[in-house]
Formats: sequence, structure tokens, C-alpha cells
Amino acid sequence: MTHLRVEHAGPATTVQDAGRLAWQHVGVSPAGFADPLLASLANALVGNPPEVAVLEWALHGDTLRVVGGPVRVAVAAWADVRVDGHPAPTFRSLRLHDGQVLTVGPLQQGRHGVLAVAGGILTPLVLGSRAVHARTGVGGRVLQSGDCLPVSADPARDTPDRRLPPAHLPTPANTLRVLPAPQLPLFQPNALPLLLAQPWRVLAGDRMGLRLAGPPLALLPGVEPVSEGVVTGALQVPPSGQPIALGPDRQTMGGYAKLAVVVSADLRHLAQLRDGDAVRFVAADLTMAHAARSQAHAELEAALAAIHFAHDVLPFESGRLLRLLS
Amino acid sequence: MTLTPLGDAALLVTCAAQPGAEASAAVHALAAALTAAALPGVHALVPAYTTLLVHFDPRTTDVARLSALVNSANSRRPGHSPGDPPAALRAKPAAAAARRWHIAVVYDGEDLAWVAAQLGCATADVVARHSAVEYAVACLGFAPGFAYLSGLPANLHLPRRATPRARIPAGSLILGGQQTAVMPLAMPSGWHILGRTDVRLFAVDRAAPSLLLPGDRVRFVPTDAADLAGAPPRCEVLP
Repeated sequence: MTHLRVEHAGPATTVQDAGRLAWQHVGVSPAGFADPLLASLANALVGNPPEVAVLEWALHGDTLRVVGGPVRVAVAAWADVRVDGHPAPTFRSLRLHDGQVLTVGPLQQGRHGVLAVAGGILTPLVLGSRAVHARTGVGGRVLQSGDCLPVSADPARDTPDRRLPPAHLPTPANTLRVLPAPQLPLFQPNALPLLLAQPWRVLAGDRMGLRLAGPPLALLPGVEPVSEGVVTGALQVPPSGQPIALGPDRQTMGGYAKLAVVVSADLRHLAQLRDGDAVRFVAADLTMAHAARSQAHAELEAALAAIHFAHDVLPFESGRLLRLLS
Repeated sequence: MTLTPLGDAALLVTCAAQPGAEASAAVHALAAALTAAALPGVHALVPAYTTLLVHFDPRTTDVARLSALVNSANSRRPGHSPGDPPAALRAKPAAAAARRWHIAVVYDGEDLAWVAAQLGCATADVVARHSAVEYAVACLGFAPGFAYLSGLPANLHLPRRATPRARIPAGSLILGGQQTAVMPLAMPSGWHILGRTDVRLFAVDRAAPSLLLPGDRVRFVPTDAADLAGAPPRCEVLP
């Protein structure tokens, strides 16, 4: 069976898809794509629907060997990518043959990058999803060297090389729009103005959440919040007063009060913040959140429409070069 | 009942001001009514102590449309308003039948003696107090299948450990603050370990992955270690 063998695993690579949303009432974290835009673009480049399972890297990629094949892959990441040691383009689909080795180095921009494979990563479905929630082991674990990831080798799926024009590459942002949360009245009146007044520094983070550093945010005296359901993008404030922005591996409920929530269109930017980055929050309302979603959707549609055939021959494609010459 | 957006992809419905049996009943009844109504665009309902969080897909619906549907489903809930419930709700009862689970446990946890010493009683008293009452599943969270059980007697309330343990085994029966629970997976915990069960609280290969659901009742049955293996949980359906 065709698979990708992990020759050298990055620090926190996982299989992700759109996540396991429907099991939150029994405590199952949704998990799923950290940056759904990167996943949509990478999947489109290999001819997949947007929610097909991909490999997601955190901070550093992997070294993967194709066993069987051929397979068609696309890397959506800002990183040095090599095939058998030759530089290979990102945001462009590549056809890899049996034995070829794809190496993705440290991510030069953003926290997460994506590898899509035509037909998807075919690890077993768990509760309807292949997304890995590493903390509880639901869906699997973080990739380790020696792992084998089953992929499809159906030649009927194969498509020509395709690339995304540079004008449509996703752009980073470190100003995120937030909506006030229902628990806002539990906070000191200056808490929301303080959140919006200056940039916050990302101290540390993973798929569960990002810890932010800045002036302390305080609850009103004597307030004891009751645990309730939480959402990805919620800025929750523990007793330290330093907010935590929740990521896709968040728990389903939380006891810390939530001051504000990042709008859904900006969650992909939240997922790309790195330790040490500065992030600013600006106030929005529901109308602005909907407009931001519509705009993000229009930009994705435009990018998908702009994907075109790539006719350049890459240095590691000796077989293809010979075919073209003959 | 108040409805407030939590971001642009979730609606927080507050059913009661304070946690308690009445609040839980209201939350679970609304969750059942919304489940039966199968509202378009809703992909998860998360009941908690006083609230129900409705996660929705903002591509399909929005806060205004969903608020109207939630209010309408709530007002049609049997017992909420006079008159017959609509046919759809009669065919599919809005409140699922309550269930009572009897879970066999061995009270031999490594913290049992310490807990007894803190409470100034014998370990047998801790066991008697803990197994004498019926608990209610207020909600699930923290981990898959982790049920927050309400009803812990006040004479078993104890602060949590100063330093959480990095990992406690799946099946641990634990107590912390005013709550008790069974650990579904091996995970970190700052609660005290009273004992263990070999009932699987969460298993992805079952049709119902989580044994316990919001609104269920639970009793713990003290069992000898020799009799624990393979003892399946007994479930009564309550009238």
C-alpha cells in the first residue's frame, strides 16, 4: 500500500481535517485545522475538497519518504522544501515517485504549515474525523520518526501540476478583531479598554492555546465564574490576569472568565502567531464579523479560481524531463 | 432565559442564574428540545451548569435567525407552555429518559487514608459516605467522557492537591473540591484518588462513546478487588 514514511519527524506534526465538532457535549475537543485557509489551498492544489485530512506542522517540517506511489503533494508553508535535496516550490503541486524524499525545514513565517496529498491522508476515522487531539490521544498522536501514513495511490485521481499565483498567497496579520464576550460584565470596567490599548506579546503556545503577556486584566472583586462552554478564539483570563487565546485543541468547557472572542475570519491569523510575536486586538461587532467572513470567503474563492497549470520542469523530475524530450 | 453571542459562531443560552438541580434540569431540557428540533447549521450543543452553548456554522446561519429558533423550540418544549406539544416533539420525547448507572468500584486508592485523616474519620466512613448517595451528571468536559458529578456530601469536601499529579490511571475514582468523578483516560489530575473501576467511561469503538451523558444518575457500588474484573455497569431506566 502506498504510504509516506516519516524519516525524521518535526516537533509537533499531526494529521488534521475539519475536526470533530459534534462530540463536544461529551467532552471531546474539536481539534481540526489550525489554519483552514492553508489547508483549503493545499488541498485545492492536489485536487482535493477543502476538508480532506492533511499533515500540519508546527514550527518545523518533517522528512518524508514516498513508499509505493506515485503521489501528488502540495506544501502550503513558508519554509525551505527539498525533494531528494533539490529545492522545490511551495504552493505548487508536485508529483513524487516511489523512494523520493521530501524535506521541509523550519517554518520561516507563521507557526503552522500544511502538506496535502491527493486523496488525503488515510489514517482511520475516529468519531467521524481524522484530526489528532494529542493531549487525549483521540484520533492518534504527534507524528514520530518511523511512522507510516497511508495515502491514496489511485492514478485516476491524478491531476496536472498546478500552482497558486504569488498575488493570491495568504497574507499574515497581527491585528485581530474581537467581539466582547457575554462575561464582560464580570470584569473591571477598564479590562476591555486595556485589552485594546496596546500590543500583547505571545509568550508560548501550542494547538490548545496561546499565552499572552501584557498589563494584568482583572475581574470584579468576589466574582467566581461558573464553568461553561468555550469557543476557539476566546480570550480567557485566569487569576494571573494574563489572557490565554484558545486554539482548536481547547477543552469543551472552561471555568476562566472570557473577556472577548476573536472573530472567526481572523482565527487563521491567531493560529499563525509565534512565540515572541506582538498581537493587537481591535473591537468589532457582529456586522463587522460577518463582513470579515464574507471578504475572507471571497478572497479564498478568488485564490482557488486563480490556481493554474504549471508547465515548468523541476530539477528532481528526471522522468518527466525525459518524457517531455522524447 | 437569555441569549448572548459568544463570538460570531456560537450562541450562549443562560437558563439559570445559579447552578443546582433546577438549573441542570432546565439546561438538559433545552438541550433535548434543540437536539430534537435539529436546527440547520447547528453542529454542537454543550450543556454546562447554568448554560447551553450552541455552536453553529456562520456560513449557514447567524445569531438573529438562531435566536428566534432557540426561543421557538424552548416555548414548544413540553411542560413549558399549556396545550399539546407539536407532533414532532411528541414523536421524539424532548427529555430523554433518565438513566441510573451502578458502577462497581474498589475503594483502595492511594489517597484514601490521607482523605480519611484530613476529614478526621475512618477510611470505612469515607467509603460509606461516598457510596451512600446518588450523583447527577451535571455536564461533561475536561476530557472525553469526563462527567462532573454533583451531589458529593459536604462531609467529603476537600481542597485539591497543591501539586497535581502528572498522570493518573484511567478508571481512577477521584474527589476534588465539591466534586467527584471517574477519570476516563490516563491524564494529569489534582484531585484525590479514592479508588478505581474497570468500567470504560469513554471508548471510541462504541456506538455511544461516552458511557455517561448529561442528566444521567450514578451510584458507586463498593466491590472487592477480586470481583471487579469484567463487572459491567448496570443501567436502570428511570420512569
